[in-house]
Amino acid sequence: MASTRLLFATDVHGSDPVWQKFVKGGQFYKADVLILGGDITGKNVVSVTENSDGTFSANFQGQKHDFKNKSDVMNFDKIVRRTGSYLYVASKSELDELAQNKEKADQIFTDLILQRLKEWIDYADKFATTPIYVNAGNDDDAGVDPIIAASSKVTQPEEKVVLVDSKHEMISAGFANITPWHCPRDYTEEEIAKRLDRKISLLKDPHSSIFNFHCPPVNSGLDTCPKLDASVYPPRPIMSGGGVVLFGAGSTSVREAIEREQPMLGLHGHIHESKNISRIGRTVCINPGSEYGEGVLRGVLVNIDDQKGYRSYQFVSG
Amino acid sequence: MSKDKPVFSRASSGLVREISPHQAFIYNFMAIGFYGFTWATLFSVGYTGAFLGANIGLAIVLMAISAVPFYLSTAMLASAMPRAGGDYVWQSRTLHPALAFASTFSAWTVWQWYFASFLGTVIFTLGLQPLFALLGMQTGNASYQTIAADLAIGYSQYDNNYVFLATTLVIILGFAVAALGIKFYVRLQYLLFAGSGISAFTVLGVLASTSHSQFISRFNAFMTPLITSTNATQATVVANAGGYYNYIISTAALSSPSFSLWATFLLFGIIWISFGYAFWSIYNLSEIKRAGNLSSQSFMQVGSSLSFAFFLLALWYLIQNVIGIDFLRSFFTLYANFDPSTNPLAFFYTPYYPALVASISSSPLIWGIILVGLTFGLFQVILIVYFASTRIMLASSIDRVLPEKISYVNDRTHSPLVALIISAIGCEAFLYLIVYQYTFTSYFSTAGLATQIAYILISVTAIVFPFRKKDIFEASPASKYKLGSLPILSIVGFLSLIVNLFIAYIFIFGPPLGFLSVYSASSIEFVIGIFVACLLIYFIAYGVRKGQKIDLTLSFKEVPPE
Repeated sequence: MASTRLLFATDVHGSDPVWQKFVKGGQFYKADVLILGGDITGKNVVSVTENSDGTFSANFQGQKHDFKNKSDVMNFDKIVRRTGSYLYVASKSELDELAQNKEKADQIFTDLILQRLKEWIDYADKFATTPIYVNAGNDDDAGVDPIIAASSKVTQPEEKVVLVDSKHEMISAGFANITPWHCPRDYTEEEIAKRLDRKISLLKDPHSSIFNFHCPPVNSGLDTCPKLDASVYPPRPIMSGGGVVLFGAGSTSVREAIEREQPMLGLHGHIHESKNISRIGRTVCINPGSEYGEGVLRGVLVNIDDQKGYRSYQFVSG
Repeated sequence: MSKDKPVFSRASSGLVREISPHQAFIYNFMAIGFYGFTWATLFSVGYTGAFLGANIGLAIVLMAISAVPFYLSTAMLASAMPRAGGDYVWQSRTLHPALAFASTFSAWTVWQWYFASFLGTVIFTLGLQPLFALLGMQTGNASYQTIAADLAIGYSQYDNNYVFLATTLVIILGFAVAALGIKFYVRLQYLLFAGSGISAFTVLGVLASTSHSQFISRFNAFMTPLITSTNATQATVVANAGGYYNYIISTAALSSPSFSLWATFLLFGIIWISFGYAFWSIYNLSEIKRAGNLSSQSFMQVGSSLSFAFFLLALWYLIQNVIGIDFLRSFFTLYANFDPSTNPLAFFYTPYYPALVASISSSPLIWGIILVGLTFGLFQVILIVYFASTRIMLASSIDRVLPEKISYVNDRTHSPLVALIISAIGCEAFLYLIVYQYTFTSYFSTAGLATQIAYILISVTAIVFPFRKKDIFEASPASKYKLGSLPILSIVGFLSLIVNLFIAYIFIFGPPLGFLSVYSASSIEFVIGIFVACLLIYFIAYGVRKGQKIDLTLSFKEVPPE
């Protein structure tokens, strides 16, 4: 009886070592197929001010950093890239101007994101030894899709049904229900339901398939996070009785689809702090969580028998 | 939208790290605990013959200083690996996953069940029994007197059905609170913290507003009617001695010992049992803001431990100067003599310092604030045990070392029900042994050694971390600090190792530490046996998982990125 081992990770958010570990994870974990469940781009640009005396300075993670020269800045860049952030070096006057010109600042941000993604795809094309599926998440702009599509080793599975082995199909969805940040791929539950129905209709056997949906099913234990007050920026956790109010932030449409179709496996992400496994009927749903900020690859290995289907899982944290 | 928005920003979801360093500081302060049996023991046993010549104040100062290397080690490790799971993650990645599982599961799960059940009994013997005794004496209410008498059989928990049943209720109550989820717990925690804090500061307030001579006269006034009503002959003897305070001192007839630095150091064994928990925030590292910042970590851990040392010093200063060392030494030396024919104490409650301080006040409100607040503090520790032990079980289950069912989380309350049930059963089993099989409790007499194994392994992790996890260390803020070419992390780890080995030595070879009063050499083998059993669980799980095509070691290995 042949078996297949999947390595699923998600929400790498621009972290260089996490992406590199993911690509190398095929060999390391003896996985046959690699799947990345979305949110591949970073969230933050660290601006480094080039001072008039040739030195540099930056504020990063609440601490001020001073650099004597460009070489020091390049070393600093490695730390910044580890956390998933992007470095942008400019004079004080340019940074002041960007603070007033949001359009220009956004363009720089987007360019940095796409540049890193191109580097990542080059890395995968060079080092990948197994098939890799990478779909975008709700945080990712549309610009990432063509870059992934241009890869020789990485497949964007969002708009297609892929076979992870000789029998098991997988459909993918990077979108999520509306978040307080109103991200590029945030949709209403009605829209999500429609889109999922369309994807499911493409499957030959939904019962033995994999639902690679970035957004977890609501109230599944894979979606527990603080409830946020979206009227302030950045959104803040709502406190009650001295504690943070927790709730299930997942999608009702995703849950309904899983309850109705009972696929073999649900692979999810989106809520970084909600690493867990849950069963909805016969469906095993997993969210490996994310610690991209620490350069840690959180993933899950799933063993599947060609005949019997899902066999076992194992969280990894490398 | 605020105008504080950064130059570069974009819409991206996800929110992690919501606990501020300030909140983590308080959490660690609370983990040490305003109340625990530790402080009652310290201010009683610390003055007795077992620690002849010890200076408690100096011991607190030396302990606080000696703890700095350990807390600097954990602060540096936390800033280098600011990840959920704390020392379990550090040890598993740096030493070996089997060692990490065995040390955390035995120290922070199995043995915490023992501490929780023991503290459950103390809620009654140390808190509520004296309260009912005081109320019964003042009001003459027979019900209060009966409750006090029932809870005080033999002035201990042994063979006491009432203590067993009442503590069982506490264990069930703790389970219910934990099962209701973190939201309810957080609310209750504030209440418990406020109650125990008010109680502790009331103790300080009562002592600070009482002179030494006032204490003596109030204490004598409190005791006189009690002695007169129970033993007329003794009442005459006491009166001739100039009151019960002097009577205790003259009866004990102890000579004044000269100062002993060695006995002072031996008190580390008592202090560290509670003082060693100011790093407890590491189990929430993935939720703490600026967790990778060394200054923040130092503030949370070193800061909270040093702050607590100041509180403890204030308590010691007042107890020593208001109550008096000679009296305390005599009092507890006599109390430790369990032979009723030679024990002249007329006390009708467990005479530890909270009840002693309460009784010099004539206000039932003060009694209630001090003694009920004390039970709040003890109950809080029981809840912390529930949360910490289940968190480790959950992590081990998710890592596939323990069965999958243990990681079941209730959808509505988000609480790990199966792990909580196991913890409740574990606590109840220990309670049964403590109350009814107390000869068996000799096996628990070096329970502190179990946690020392974990402290020692954390120290070893700190020593080798810069060399075995070079990349992570070099990227961490701790890498900036070196003595020559030697990382400060390794140096403080080494110092911490020496301190923790010394404390382990106290647990093995030192005098009985009060609540670990039934000394037995076999308890060392028992503690090591539990540790070895946990190692076996790991290796059995390794074999079982292998059959399921799961290689447990993969859970803990880091993929080389380059």
